[in-house]
Amino acid sequence: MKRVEKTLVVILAVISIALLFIFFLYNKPHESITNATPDIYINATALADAFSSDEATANHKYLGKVLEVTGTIREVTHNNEAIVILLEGNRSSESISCTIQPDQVIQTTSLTLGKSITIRGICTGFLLEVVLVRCIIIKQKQHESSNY
Amino acid sequence: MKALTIKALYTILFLILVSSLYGQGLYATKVGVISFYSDAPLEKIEAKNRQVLSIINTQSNEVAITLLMKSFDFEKALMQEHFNENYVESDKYPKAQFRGRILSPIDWTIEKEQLAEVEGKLSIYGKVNDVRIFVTVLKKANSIKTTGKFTVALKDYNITIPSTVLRNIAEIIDVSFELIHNPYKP
Repeated sequence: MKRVEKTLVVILAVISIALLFIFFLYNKPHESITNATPDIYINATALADAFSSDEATANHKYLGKVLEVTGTIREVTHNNEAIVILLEGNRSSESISCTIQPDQVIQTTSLTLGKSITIRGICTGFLLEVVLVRCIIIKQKQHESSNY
Repeated sequence: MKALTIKALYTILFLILVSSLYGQGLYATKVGVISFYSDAPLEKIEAKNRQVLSIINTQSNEVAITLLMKSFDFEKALMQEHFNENYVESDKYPKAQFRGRILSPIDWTIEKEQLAEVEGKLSIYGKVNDVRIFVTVLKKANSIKTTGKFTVALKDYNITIPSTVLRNIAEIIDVSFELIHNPYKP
């Protein structure tokens, strides 16, 4: 009798652990961009160039990766869904589009066009611009000069 | 000589006029919203894409919509992973595209909702199909809003769902879109 009970307990324990595992896996949260280590650090101009010159290779390198991009703010737009910061590429036709996470709204009120900024987000590809989503602002430069 | 210069001048003026008219005909958005919804017995799945590129040419009534598959935002991270890695293999096929034309005559001067039929080619997961979709068009002073719903049968695009999750994912997906375009100067 005792042996059967013991086996039952073990089986129940294994099943419970398996169920818990599945439950946590199913409900696992999205990767936190704030806590993530960026896969690649890059300048906005270099990133824009990479996609303009060879989209297939750039996709292979950057798609789905966490990028930390430093660039100059070209434009900041707000709409119903999100705030989007555009970073300058080498040409006026090239930009990096960064959709900012909703909880970052407080930081975006101090943005100035033409200033340097560092943004971290996930690259989803290239349409008319390179697209980064779920972005957070890492750093905004207060001074334009980079002499020091 | 004089006649040639005047002719050249008129040609240039005409070209500028035509190109500016052409320029005025284009409307675009880079932040269009397309969502899809899977209603299956065991689970309801919803995903939203907020970076949809859509261009309307009001001169030719042509439309072009492109979106990045990885831009679809799911509530469940695991489902987003399965979607990208297994179902649509977004590393291989990063984009879905629609190219078509508005069949119904649209009056681009009135600011009232108009229902239009759009016909074109929808390309997902490397497979292209002819589709016809009804679109509600609302033209305002400086914008064109297009909204609508349609369905996508996964097997039409060779998207296969493993039998183990058949009760979790519908075979026919409901897609809805809301695209607010502004004048576009390329």
